[in-house]
Amino acid sequence: MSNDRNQRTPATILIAEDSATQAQELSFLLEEHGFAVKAAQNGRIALESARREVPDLIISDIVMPEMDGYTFCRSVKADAKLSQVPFILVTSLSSPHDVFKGLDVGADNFIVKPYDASLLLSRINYLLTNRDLRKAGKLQVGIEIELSGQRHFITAERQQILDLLISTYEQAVRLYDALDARQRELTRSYETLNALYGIAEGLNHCQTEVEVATSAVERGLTLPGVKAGWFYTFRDGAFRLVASRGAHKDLFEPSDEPCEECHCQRMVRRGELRASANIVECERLTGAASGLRYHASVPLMVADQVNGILNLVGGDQRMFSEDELRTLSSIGNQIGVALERAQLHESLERKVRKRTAELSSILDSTPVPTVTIDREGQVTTWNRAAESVFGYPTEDVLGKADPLAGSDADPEETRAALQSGRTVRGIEVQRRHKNGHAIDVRISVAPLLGRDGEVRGQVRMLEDQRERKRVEDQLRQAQKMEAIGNLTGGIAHDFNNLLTIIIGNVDMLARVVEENASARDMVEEALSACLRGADLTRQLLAFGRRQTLKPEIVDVNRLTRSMVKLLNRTLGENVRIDLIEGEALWPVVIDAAQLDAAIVNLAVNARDAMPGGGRLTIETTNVQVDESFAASHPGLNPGDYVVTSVTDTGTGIPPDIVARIFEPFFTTKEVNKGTGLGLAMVYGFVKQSGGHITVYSEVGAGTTFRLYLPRAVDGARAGEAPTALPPRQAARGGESVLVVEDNDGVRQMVVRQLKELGYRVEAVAEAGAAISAIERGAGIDLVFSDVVMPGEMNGIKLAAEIERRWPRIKVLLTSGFPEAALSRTNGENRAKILSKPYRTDQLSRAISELLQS
Amino acid sequence: MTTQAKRILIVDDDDQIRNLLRTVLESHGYAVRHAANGLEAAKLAEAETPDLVITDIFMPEADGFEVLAVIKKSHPEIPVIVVSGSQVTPNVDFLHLAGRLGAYSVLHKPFRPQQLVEAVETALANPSGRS
Repeated sequence: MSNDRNQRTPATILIAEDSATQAQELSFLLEEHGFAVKAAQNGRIALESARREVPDLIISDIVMPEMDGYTFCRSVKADAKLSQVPFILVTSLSSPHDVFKGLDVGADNFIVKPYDASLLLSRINYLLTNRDLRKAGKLQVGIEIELSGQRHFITAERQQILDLLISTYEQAVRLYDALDARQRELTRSYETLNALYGIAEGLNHCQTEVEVATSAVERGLTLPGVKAGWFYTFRDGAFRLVASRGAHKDLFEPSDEPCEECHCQRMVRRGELRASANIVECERLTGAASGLRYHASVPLMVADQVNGILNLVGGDQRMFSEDELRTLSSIGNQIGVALERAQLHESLERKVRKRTAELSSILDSTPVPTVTIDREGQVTTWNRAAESVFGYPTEDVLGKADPLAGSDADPEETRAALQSGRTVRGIEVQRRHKNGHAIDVRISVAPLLGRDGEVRGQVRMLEDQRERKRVEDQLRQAQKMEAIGNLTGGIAHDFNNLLTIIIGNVDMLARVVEENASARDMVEEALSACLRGADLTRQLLAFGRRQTLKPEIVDVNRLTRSMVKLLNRTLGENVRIDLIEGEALWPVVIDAAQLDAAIVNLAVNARDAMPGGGRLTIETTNVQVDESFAASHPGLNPGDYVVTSVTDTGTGIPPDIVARIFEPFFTTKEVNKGTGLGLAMVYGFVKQSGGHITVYSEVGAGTTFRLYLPRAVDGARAGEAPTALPPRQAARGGESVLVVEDNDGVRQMVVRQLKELGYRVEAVAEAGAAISAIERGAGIDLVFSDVVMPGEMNGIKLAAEIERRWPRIKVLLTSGFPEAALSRTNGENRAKILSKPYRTDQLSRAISELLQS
Repeated sequence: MTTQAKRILIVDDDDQIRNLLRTVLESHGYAVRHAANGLEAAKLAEAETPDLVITDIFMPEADGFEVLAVIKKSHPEIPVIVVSGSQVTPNVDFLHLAGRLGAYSVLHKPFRPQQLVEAVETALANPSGRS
């Protein structure tokens, strides 16, 4: 409309405004829209200007120096020449009085600062267009109005009142709209703030990734206008979907597996997602039938590193505004920190769990019962050994007072040590098993210290002494048997000499007193006693391992088989005999008659233990004794044995006497029923044969004796391949060994053994040939010779000769007589002696030790 | 006994045993010399060449093994009877060793005079054969 006007003469607008700036701004606006503008600093100047040249419209501020807007307006309206010029008052409309005052002075319209340009222009055009109309229908009216408790009587033109009301109403609507927008904005801000607070608050409680993610997504949904969300972590180069809410379940199912990556993840990888951004056409969302396509991606950042993404979908296909994205970015930082913290926490938790599991598995794998208690004496750790030794399950004692401690059981030292934090080692005490029986333990305690060194509890190790005591007892018993054996043997030896003299003289005396009947009787009595003494001495010698044995290669199965026939007659029909023969039994080198006697002895004892009859089981088997088994059985050496066990179903032997049954003169039989030397003789025979005997007995159930007899290796049957021998010392550089042995069979076997061990081997049948071989310069490193050989030179002499002529060459002698026997004859000779029978590994070790010496 | 008394050399460090053996053997008509140890015995054997030697094993100076060795070297035809006390130690069977070194037979203590006489007669009747 202004355009139309422009084509004619432009409408002139007079502005009264004391602020030059505001006057200029308004002039500029109006001129831009085709009006001619005049400006005056106050009402007076403006009035003068209007009187000089009548404007088409006046816009006046109210507060001005010299003449204010009201006075100016009244003056204009009072001036007949000017009264028809539309007058717009610029007011703050802060009070209704402004309106009344405006009406009073005859203003045509109001406009509120700051100007809304379009509203102002539309008012101007309205007033200009209706100027003529207004001229026509001037009608003065008077109205009484009550407002804010004051009565106002308004006298004005109807049109003027209408305009004023309309403009006021317009203004009110405008204000309402602004207020409403402000209100909505406030509500949104409030909601946003509330959601932000909720997110921050929620994150505080999260300790795991999943908790952080779930909390962030759930609280993210409380942000105004957010209807769905999901959360990725980005760790170890992989994205994982950890939580989702409101999104399509199938597509946003949380999983531990790395997820398929789409747009936002690729942006992170490319370093493009540094701040929250709208993601358009999300591939994942496209897959969902929900119709959503857009979401905001919030990078979760810690110190420039993205460690996750929070994706949020707004309602109504809405994109997020710049403001919202900024807000989201700041949330992203908070969540990023929380996520980092949770990851750290989880990784620490994992480490702690792993360490705890390691510690508890270490504790559980130690055979020593180990317990920790706190300062109050309550159990905090109870390992598996403690469970099994003392019978209390861990879950029954944790958090309770230590069931093993008690004023009677806990020595003052360990109790004081708990408070003082001292270490106590190896106190012998007794503890009670859950079922009440006493257990000897060696207790050691050490304080558990906190980080600042205060005593927080105590770790207690309670070594079960029973096994150690058992082995110690056995060892002590074995040593005792050895000592008794030596003593007995020595006494018996001297006794034999004495008996020889007594018997000889008494015998001769018998002849002298032949004619005197009563003297002859007395001598016969003496002689008879001597012979009984001689018999006793023989048995004592047997126990003392000094009986003359006639060792031969024995098949124990064959021997026991023929024994069973004899025993069937001896033991009577109340005793049933079972023989269980071991398969492929190794040969042994022993005195067969003595083994016979030993078995009869055990069988007769068994019968006596089964007065009402029973079963006797004789079983033979091969046994390989390893180091650990030997260690727990003092007197038994590692190696291969043929074991003959004799088991009865008799009354058994009480534990307190079972250890002593092999001692000479120890008997449980009635006086005159036995000498007390039977088991002692069996013991002596087995030990003298290089073996061992054990007894296992349960009162009321029966007794088992086991005879360990060493496997023969160098014998006629030694052709059988030895199995699973201990590791041998292999030859280092194919050293050369000269074998001197008169027995063809033995020689061949030794040659084979040595070749297997990696030595170069030469063999001769006697000492002279050996000397010749060395003289030929065959490069011999070691001579392995039998001691007893036919011809001029035996092994000992050969060794001496070699020593004299070739001191570099080592000599190893072997003999059926153990070392001690030969050391007498061997004298100063440096040759070592290997006793027969020997095992291959013994031969190997002896040779390699000698070569290395 | 009908022609010339057989000479027997007794070697034992226990003089009671030595006396017992001498008494028993002399009562059976043997000419007996005795020595208290191996060295003495070796000298006597060298000087007088006995028909039979009876020796203990454990003796001071040279022991029964040396007596055996010396006699078997110079006079392998002379039978040697070894008298055992308890010539088995827990580790060594000396009697077995004596056998391997050429002892004719072993007489176990305690023995009765008759057993001694029988052992001596057996050895003298068949000096080359072993018991």
